[in-house]
Amino acid sequence: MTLLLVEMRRAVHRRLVRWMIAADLVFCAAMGVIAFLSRVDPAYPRDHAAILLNWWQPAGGGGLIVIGTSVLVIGAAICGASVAGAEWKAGTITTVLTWSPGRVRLHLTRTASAAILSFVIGVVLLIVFMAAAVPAMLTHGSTSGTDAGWWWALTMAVVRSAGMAALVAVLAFNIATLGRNTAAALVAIAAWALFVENLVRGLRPGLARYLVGENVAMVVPWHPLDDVEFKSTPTAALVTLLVYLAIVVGIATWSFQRRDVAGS
Amino acid sequence: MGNVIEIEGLRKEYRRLRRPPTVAIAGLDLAVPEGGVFGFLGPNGSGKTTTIRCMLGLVRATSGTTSVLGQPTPAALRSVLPQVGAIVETPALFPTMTGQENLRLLGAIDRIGPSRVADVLEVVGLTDRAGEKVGKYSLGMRQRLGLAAALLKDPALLVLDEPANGLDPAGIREIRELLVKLGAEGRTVFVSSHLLAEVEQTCDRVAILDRGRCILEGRVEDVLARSARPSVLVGLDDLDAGARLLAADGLAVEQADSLLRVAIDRGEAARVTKLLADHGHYVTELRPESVSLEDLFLTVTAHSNEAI
Repeated sequence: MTLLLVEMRRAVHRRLVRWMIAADLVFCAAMGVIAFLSRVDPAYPRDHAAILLNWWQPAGGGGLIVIGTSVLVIGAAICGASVAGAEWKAGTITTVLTWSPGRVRLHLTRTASAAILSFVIGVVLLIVFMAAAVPAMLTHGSTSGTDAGWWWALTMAVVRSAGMAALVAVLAFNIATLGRNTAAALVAIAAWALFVENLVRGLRPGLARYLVGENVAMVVPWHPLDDVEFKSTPTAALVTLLVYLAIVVGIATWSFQRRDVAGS
Repeated sequence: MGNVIEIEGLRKEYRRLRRPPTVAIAGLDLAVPEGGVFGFLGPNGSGKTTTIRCMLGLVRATSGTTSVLGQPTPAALRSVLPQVGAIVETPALFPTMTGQENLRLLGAIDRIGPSRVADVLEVVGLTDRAGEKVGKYSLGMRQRLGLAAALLKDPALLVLDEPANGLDPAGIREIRELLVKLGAEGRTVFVSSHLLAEVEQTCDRVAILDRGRCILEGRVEDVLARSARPSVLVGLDDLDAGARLLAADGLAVEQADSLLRVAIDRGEAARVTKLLADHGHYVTELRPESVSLEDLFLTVTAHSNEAI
């Protein structure tokens, strides 16, 4: 437990992590200001009005939860990769190993630290994101139609969204551990997300059920995808993602346990 | 406990793609007795840091065994490391935290309290700067902080890789005095360094490493005495005449800068002065020739290279 707290403190001390949180807060504030200043377009009053029910559609997979999740996932990937990569660059991994020599324990603790922090920060930032729209709702919007069931669905969507941020952070952390480099990990993640996944979507749409993007898109709203050439369920999507996570964490742990820590 | 560090037949090869492996350590045997300061010397690339990394489980040896504080490493590292303080290469600490935060965080891993942190900061002379971020520290201050981190566990064994790197002369002297003090307290200080004059003044024993092998090991005085040629250096107004005279008496003489080097035991130096004075040559300077660790180091590592 002590090691976990130490690792979490070290992670939040990273400059990049703090900058990413600050950038996210600025983004939330900007969205709040835009929402507040926006006036209803008479042509599309239903879409543009600050109606809570329309903006957040936790069960349908639409609305601001998609934007919030996207921003969180990108930030989580950058921070997760940075926390691992910077340790190798700075040589602090050597220092830590002279205090905590159990490599498997250390790596799994650090992985847990990345997951917990990303999840907690994700939940807080999503709440801030929602809170930023409150002035718009109060002045020229509405919260009507939101019942206990809707709030519960939104809460669960936030939890799943932050969970996906944690999953991506852990993936990025472990990929950076394998490559011992932040930039290499981010390039690998970007290449996978932008090139490989789009290639599969275009050439083998039936295999898209195995893609990270599709599975995340099913898990967050907990709803199957429409207009796709495969049938899958949110549960299957979550299991697929967890299998990927287990494989990457397993390989990274094995690699960290076996490889030399020579030079910084 | 006899030896705090025992290394037998240690070999480390780094594999390279489509090329023969690089041999960093080539069958090293070493025994470091308990207590005192042990100097681990060697030119760059001789395998000092790799040896330290093998001992501390950071690098996996290709073959051979290492044991620290009587227990095999890396197998028993979890029970060994709480008694070992180490700096490996440049101390790597967290630049966005203060010196004090760094130590408190490291200490928390072993449940070491803030009072011990304050103590070690005092020992290395960083109390006044403990509240500054490490990113703003000079290299010398980072070395001190690294040393403080190594002392935090109150270790029985300190393993320090070039601890005087980046320190100014006053800082080097402080570190030297600190190491001697730590060694005198009964701890074992294993220090790798290329500052040979420092090692000579600080260490009780030395081992000289070259190309991954230990080529000389023992107490500093013994090693120097073993390597010293019995000779005295003689100052004269007329070096040529003096040299001829001494050579005629059967002594081996050669000119060494502005002095004559006479191959004779220091106890027989009176023979030289008498001989010269009898012939009207008066000695202006007379001293036994001493071999420094630096001379010895350069000689043995050069021989080792020639042999290879």
